[in-house]
Amino acid sequence: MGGINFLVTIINMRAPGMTYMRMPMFTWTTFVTSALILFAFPPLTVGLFLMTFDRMFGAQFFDVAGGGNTIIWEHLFWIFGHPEVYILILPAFGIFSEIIPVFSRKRLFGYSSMVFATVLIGFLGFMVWAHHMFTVGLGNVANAIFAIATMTIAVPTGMKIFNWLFTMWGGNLKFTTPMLWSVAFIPSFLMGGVTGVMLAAAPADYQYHDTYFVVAHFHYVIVGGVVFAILAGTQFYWPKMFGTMLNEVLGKITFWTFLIGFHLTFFIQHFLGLMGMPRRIWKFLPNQGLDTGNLISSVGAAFMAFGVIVMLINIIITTVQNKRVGNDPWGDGRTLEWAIPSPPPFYNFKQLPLVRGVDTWWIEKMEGKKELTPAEPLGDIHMPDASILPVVISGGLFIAAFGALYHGDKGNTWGLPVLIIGIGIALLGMLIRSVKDYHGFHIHKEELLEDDKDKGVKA
Amino acid sequence: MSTKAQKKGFGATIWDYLTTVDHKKIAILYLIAGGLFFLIGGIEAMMIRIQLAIPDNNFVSAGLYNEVLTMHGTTMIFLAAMPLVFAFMNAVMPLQIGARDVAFPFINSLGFWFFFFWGSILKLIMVFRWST
Repeated sequence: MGGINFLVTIINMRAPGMTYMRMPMFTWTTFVTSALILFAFPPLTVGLFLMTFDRMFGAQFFDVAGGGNTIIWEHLFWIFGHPEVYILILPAFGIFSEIIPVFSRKRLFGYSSMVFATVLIGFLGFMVWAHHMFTVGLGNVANAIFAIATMTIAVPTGMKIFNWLFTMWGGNLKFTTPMLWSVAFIPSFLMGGVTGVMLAAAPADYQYHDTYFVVAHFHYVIVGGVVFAILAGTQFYWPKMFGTMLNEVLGKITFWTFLIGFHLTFFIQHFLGLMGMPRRIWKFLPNQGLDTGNLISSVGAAFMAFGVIVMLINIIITTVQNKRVGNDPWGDGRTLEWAIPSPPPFYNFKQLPLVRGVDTWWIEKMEGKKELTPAEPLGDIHMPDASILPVVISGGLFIAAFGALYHGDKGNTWGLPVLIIGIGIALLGMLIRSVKDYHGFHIHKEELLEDDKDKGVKA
Repeated sequence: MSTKAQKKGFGATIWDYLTTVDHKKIAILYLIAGGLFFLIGGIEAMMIRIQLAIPDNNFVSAGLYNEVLTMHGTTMIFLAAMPLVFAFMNAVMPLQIGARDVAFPFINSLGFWFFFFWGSILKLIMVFRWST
């Protein structure tokens, strides 16, 4: 749902002049991610559906004793599961591709190759799922094909790494907290990538499979990639979302403790894995060479927890102080969002802007302009109606889910009625949505002008 | 309807966020809900690491360890990482392309509430299981 929504938005609602190749990188990665969501989730849904039938109605899809096949479940899961990791990492790449040019004060190096790499990763992401299943026994040919396909992904990812490095090269760097996260991301993620290629070598994978080496690998890509991006994005976009700046000093404390803790926790796990510690074990015995490594790993986790707590304190302090900031608080914003107030008015743009190239706002600033070139005369704006129905519909299904869960218990009497009531509420919500017309409302020109006078600034 | 910023009561603010179809407010909802689940996932991670800090530890039982491990993975990917990424997509993408909102604001809101209630079910089941 979210996927289709973002796809349609990007296809239909770009401002005048915003051609595909002028879209900011984050928009591009959102676009590709949305396509991945659209194609990756149906296999999971089908898999879960069959699983539900197995468990609730006694079907035999995955039950070998009943003529089913567990391997089918593994395939269905990983056909979803592998694109899922790209669903997570591509927006992370997008966030870094926004932050690095801003604080290098240079345009993104190799924009078009960046777009190409994003699309290529999105495509190849669907071609490699069986590398999670090398040890299942698919045969040498299948393993070889998937191993090579997996290694191929290193190529577009490498393109991106070099593009970020070249963006920074010769730039006028400013090491703010978001930039620190971005700089730390490159080597951290690269290490995850290297272990990824190691794991992609099918014969070697027989050694690594289901050990802590794998745990170290995926935490390096997900924490070193996605979590760093989320933390960087929080610091970077906080002023745009809430109109206040997070404290830079506390932000840097979070950064350093989290970074050190992260490497302390997961770096040692590579070696634990190579020494033979398996994944998903509850306890290990003393004097097998695993004691020190695990202790170091746990100490690192405490560092990360400390970093997150500092970040929470930072958010609370910032919210309480409530110091408002202007349109472009980082001073070097390049894309459209930094040209409007923080937080933006609920109609975003009073007049839709005219886009004249990549990094529109930067172009306008370099020409000495204080605001975007409008693409339309000031007019009435049509806005959608607010609605409580989403809460009603999902709330109904929430109630129904509890009914369904407890219905199977022995002697349960309330499960079935609760299930029916819940679904009833959801259906009622959908019915109201279908029969009632939502016209939306207009904000009139006069009100927009009045707004300007009240605030004394141009929106 | 006026576009002027009004000082609103607490209840009105809550109602505003429950009914909103504005991509920026939905982004804030994703950020808060995703952040909350991120913290829960973090606590689960700490439980794993405490259990494994010393050999032959008995901080959690074997069955509970398995549950916590599974929930840590599920929580971090589906309830923390994806919603937080969605928060930034919602907040930033429409602004970057110069749009006034996403194409289907109602569906955007529906998507958030499905996610939120679904995540709550997972967490509540866990709590119920432990309490009985």
